[in-house]
Amino acid sequence: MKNSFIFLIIVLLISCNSKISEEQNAATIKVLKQLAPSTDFSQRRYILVIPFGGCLSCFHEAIQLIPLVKQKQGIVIMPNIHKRVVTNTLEDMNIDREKVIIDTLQLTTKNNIVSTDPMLFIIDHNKVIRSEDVEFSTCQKILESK
Amino acid sequence: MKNIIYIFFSLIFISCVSSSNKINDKSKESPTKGKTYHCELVSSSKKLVFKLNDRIVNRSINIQHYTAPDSMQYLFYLNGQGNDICVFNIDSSKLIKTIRLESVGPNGVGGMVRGFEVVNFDSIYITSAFIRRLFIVNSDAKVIGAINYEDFKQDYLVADVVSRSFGNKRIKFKNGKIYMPFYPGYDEGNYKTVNPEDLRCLAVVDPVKRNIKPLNVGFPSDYWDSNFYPLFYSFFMYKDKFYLDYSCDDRIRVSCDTENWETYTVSSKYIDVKKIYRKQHGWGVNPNYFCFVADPYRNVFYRFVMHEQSQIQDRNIQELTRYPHKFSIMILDEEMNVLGETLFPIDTYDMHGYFINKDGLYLSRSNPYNPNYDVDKLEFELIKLEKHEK
Repeated sequence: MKNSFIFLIIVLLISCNSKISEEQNAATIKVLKQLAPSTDFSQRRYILVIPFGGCLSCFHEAIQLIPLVKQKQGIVIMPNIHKRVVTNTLEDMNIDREKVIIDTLQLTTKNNIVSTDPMLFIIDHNKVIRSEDVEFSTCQKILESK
Repeated sequence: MKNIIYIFFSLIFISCVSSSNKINDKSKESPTKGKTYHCELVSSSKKLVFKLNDRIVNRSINIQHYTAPDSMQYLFYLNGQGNDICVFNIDSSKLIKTIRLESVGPNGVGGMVRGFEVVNFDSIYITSAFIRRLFIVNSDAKVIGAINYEDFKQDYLVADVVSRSFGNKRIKFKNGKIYMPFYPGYDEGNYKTVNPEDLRCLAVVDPVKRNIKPLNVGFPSDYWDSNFYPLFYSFFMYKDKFYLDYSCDDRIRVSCDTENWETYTVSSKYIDVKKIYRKQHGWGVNPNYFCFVADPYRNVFYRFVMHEQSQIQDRNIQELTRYPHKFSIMILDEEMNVLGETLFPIDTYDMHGYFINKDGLYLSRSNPYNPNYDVDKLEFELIKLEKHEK
């Protein structure tokens, strides 16, 4: 009896931990709709958010994922109070600015959608169905899967 | 008799071990008695304004003042987060050159330049993220040399070095050797596995003998006693002395020879550096001594103090770190006596955008929260040091 109770608690904890909360989900969708008002989030969408200022290697890895996100008709959001920091970075790395949203109001960071490190979100039916810290090989697999 | 001999040798052994610790950790309180004056930093009407083109960001992690042999003054300015070094003529307030450093190829210095040290127009030492090498470039962005210390003999892994005004970590050249600061590598995940005193964050490179050795100084042994604190610090040389200031601790260490270090406890009147306000959103909200710098023209030191910012909810961690809502600057003399501490008005300056010349301390006013902020200008204000009789 005691063991089953502990098991139940563990299962509950794991399931709570692996899902984004309803509140966080609503906040994420709200911000995404503000930043990309013409995007239909009822369909599957890949959203890569790349803040500046956190782990440098994570930032570098995330930048390499931009072309893959674009192939998936996804959206890249780069929050920074200085627009020129983003445009210079993209220009220096020969990355097309198209479909890169520069979040100068930093809605993604202020609403705790990302902190300092990049994240990849998968949206479907207006819900976040998966969110991953950017680790290049994992995200590459996700983005290259059909 | 045998026991007495054992005790005797044990005592000798203990005394030898304790004397091998060359850090004078008496933590002498900084004396303020006997001073007949105090100092403050006073805003002046003098401003320096540089007009920017649409590639230049009015935020930098490395700003260096350089006086040329013909007495002309220049500002070397690392642009935003890119690889461009902008050179401004201070006397004419004009951008005279942009050194566009390449990432790869024969003149490549890596994709993320994290700092530089100007010796003159024809030798600028570049430090790059993830690359354990010092590049030497000229003002045409040509690599004219490199010190690849990754291949040098070393007992302690010396990570990629940095030399920049943000936090004031600077490489220095002395007697053919290069003294370099680097990140010790421990964070909240693994800090309990090491004694802070055993950490190393400074190294000396001998390019001729091709070796690199860590300096005999770490973090205070009780640094993490109450909590985890990040391993941020300032390091520089001034008048042949080495200065190491821990951002999350009141202590400053000073050495003449890098072997023996004197410890001073110097506290701000505005912050409790060991108090943590909010942890999960990073360190930008917690008080710390972010930058320690020498003013060679007035023979004093400035210690930039970031105040607690937990009440500011509408800004993210990067903004709070870069543009702290509230900060002060402590003024110290050569004996680390506090001569004063000046509180600055909120949301007016970019405290990380500073340089010092014969006029005084210049602080950037290019703060996006300043109502007069202009994205196309880089604006500095002269802050003068004033001495008052007590």
